[in-house]
Amino acid sequence: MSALLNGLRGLWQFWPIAIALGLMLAPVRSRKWPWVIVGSTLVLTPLALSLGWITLYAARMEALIFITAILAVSLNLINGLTGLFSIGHAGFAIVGGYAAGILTTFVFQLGPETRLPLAIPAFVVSLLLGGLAAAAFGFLVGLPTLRLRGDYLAIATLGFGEIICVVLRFITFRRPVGEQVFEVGGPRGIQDIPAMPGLPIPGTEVAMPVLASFVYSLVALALIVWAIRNLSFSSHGRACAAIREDEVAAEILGVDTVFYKVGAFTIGAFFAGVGGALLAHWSNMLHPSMGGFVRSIEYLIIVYIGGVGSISGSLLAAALLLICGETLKDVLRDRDAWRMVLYGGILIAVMLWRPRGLYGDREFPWLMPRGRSTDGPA
Amino acid sequence: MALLELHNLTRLFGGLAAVRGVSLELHLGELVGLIGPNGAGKTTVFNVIGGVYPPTSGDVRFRGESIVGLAPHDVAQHGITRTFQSIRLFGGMSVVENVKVARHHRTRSGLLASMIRTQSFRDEEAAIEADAMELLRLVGLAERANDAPKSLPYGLQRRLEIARALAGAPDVLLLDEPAAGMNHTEVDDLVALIRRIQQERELSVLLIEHQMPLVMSICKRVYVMDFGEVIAHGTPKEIQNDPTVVEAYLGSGGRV
Amino acid sequence: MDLILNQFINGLQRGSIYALIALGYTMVYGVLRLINFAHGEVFMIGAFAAYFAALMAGGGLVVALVAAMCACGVLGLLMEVGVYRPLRSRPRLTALIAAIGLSILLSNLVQALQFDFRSASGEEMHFSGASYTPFPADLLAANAHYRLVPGREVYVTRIQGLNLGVSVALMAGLWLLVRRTALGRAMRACADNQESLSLMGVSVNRVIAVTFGIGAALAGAAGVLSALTYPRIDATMGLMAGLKAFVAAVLGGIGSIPGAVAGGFIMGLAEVAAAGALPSSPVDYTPLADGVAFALLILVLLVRPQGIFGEAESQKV
Repeated sequence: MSALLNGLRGLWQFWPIAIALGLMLAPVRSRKWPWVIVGSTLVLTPLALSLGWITLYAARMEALIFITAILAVSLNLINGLTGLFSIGHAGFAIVGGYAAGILTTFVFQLGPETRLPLAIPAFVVSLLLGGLAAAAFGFLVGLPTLRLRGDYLAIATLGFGEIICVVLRFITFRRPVGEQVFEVGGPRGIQDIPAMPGLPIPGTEVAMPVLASFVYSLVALALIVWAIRNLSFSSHGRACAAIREDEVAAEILGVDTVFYKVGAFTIGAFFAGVGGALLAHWSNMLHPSMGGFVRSIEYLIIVYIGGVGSISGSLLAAALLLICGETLKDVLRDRDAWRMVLYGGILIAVMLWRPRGLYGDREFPWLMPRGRSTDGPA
Repeated sequence: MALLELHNLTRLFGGLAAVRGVSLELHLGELVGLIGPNGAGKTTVFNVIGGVYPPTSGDVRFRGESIVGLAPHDVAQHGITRTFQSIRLFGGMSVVENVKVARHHRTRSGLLASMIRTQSFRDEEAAIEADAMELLRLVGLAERANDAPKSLPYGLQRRLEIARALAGAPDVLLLDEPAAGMNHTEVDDLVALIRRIQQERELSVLLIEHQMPLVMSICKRVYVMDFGEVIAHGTPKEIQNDPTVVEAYLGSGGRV
Repeated sequence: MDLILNQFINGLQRGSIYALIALGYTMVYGVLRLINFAHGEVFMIGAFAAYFAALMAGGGLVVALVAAMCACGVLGLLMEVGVYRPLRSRPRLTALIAAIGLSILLSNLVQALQFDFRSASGEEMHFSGASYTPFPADLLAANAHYRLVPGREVYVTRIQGLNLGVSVALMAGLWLLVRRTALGRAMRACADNQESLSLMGVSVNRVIAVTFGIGAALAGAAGVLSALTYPRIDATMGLMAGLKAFVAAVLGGIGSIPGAVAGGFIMGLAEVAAAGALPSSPVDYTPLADGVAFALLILVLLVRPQGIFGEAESQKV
């Protein structure tokens, strides 16, 4: 009984996300609607925080939901739109995280004393460079795997992800700072990654890191979803969809499949890198294992339960799975291992009885461009 | 100089010669037929022209230049498109999207423009939509633009394939058995469509077909293949009376 | 020189374990064109099944081996009938994702289990899947070693000998089954052309189920053998071993039984060679040896995706 109450409490603490989900599910076609969703979420949580209506922990978890959603929609670009079977996605994310983390820790040396006009641009630049670093890896993975199909491609991407983790375990970065020599990397990963820079509003010192990560993650998610959705509903997106449907026919009809397949990996990896960079600063640390198979599977689960090919599905699934996970943690307490058992079971059940996932390849009405039916992205 | 020329084309698969020493010409504005029993190598010829696999020996020339070694998408961009023997429509995309994607290689908008939806991108999308709808009107599919290809009856699927091949604005159109599985009325409609397409767009067409009435009525010249080689060539009337042709068809129980 | 010979024996031993696991992958791929992602977990469950058989039932090595192979065989059958068979008509990706789900479910299930039990010798024991479990290798096989070459410091331990012996015996048994029996013929035909096979009155479902069961049983045996050599077992041991054995199967040519054996031994030897070539201190380089497996995989996929014994697939346009 207490477990149930714990569970309900755990569920309830995410009420701002529930509101956001409700808004997302509304059958509204207006293209102003995304502004309503983002705007309200942006205002609601900080407001609730200041009024003590939600806990700091819940706000922090909301940021994690946004970051996970970024990783899911970026994976969806590769698996869903282009039909490639990539299961090493966490590898791209961790490259982005390492790149950005090293930049903020070492190069820019962001900290509470860093002056504001420098801190925020420095952070954003680190995010983008993290994305670029990951994109380079995406390119390196996409190029040699061109001729591989299905299972083989899956295993190859898995292998690349693991190789990245192994390499990260052995690379260390050294930088002399003043008298000391800082060393990060290696098997311990990077510790003490600075928090995301916020605004020095008096009275918010404690909450500011959480607020900052909330805002950055939400804005990044909104921008990335917008970019990916635009891409999906463009000629470029159609070319990728054609490759997914029938690669040979697409090639014969004039689609440069090499360009678009490598492109899918590169672009997907870029966004994953941004997500990984955000994650690094959200958790203030990075460990090589965070780029491994287990993490990649988590993103895979979200994408396929949400419906591979549906951006909306990935958004829904990311929120639902994380909320369920947190709730289960409260219910199960010390028996947390059962949570992953449940996820595995859900994945099997979805494949058996609803392989198209929550949303198939459909999208929210407000996500579709002008003049389209509620069909899938391509 | 012909628009499309095949010089002594040979394609071996292991020890099997699917195509051997085939030479043919397609002149500007012509409609030429390629017939022969099943397994004669006709689709292989299309595949080699399209760059799906390179010839083992021989040359393919388009506008006087060799196109051997080009990737299939390059061949399409140069102006040669095709339909497929078995329908290969993109099932997960709508009818109009199938047509739009074939026009992709002619679009100019880059990645960034697509992602942030610049005005020039939007203008181009409108143009793509207009072009695609025009093609659908041409083949009679305009009302089904947003339907799934699988929901179309067979004859309309074939027409969609043709519309898709036309979207690339080709100079040469390779049609691989476009009338397969059609009844008489459908074939007549198809004949009218091909004639109209050819005249309106000044296309040169190379047509693989089994249905003799179709071939005889619209092809100016016909090449006959058997066992990978060209065994006869001439006007439809000439090859109809050619004994080698008759034997090739009757010998394999074919229909003439 | 002695060191090299000893390492060679090590490599053979590890290779034999990989080969047994790889056989399961390759057999399932042969009949279903499916990579059974959960196969590594079967290997892991074999080790645990033997653990409980040894401790609760008090049996010796033979009992443990048989228990593990039976338990895993049944598990394989359940996976096929419960998950893969219903998905057979669906796109392969669906089954692959379900396999991933199975893998997560099984490994975390073992991790989640915690309970008390009484051993055969009357001891009260507690099992916790979340931590390492010590495998009673000494209960099952005495730890003796034998000098292999007189005059040189080259040894084979009793466990290594058992390992190689059992592996080779099982592989030989499989070979006989596949080559000499009607069932084996049916399995080979099933990998080739299922439609014709069913038209000839053979229950394809049954053949596939048996194939799964045999492959799983072999993996279970591998689990026992591995636990004998490295007597700390845990719920996550299946992931790495499974991945490496899969690489071995691909290396040898997925779908080819001799390929799986060859690939397994090559993988074992390569791993030992890589670990031996690296300095042992101060940093722990063993994860790098793990990386060798993946680097090998990428290399194979790029240079010769069909593997050593496999045939290249071509698409008809």
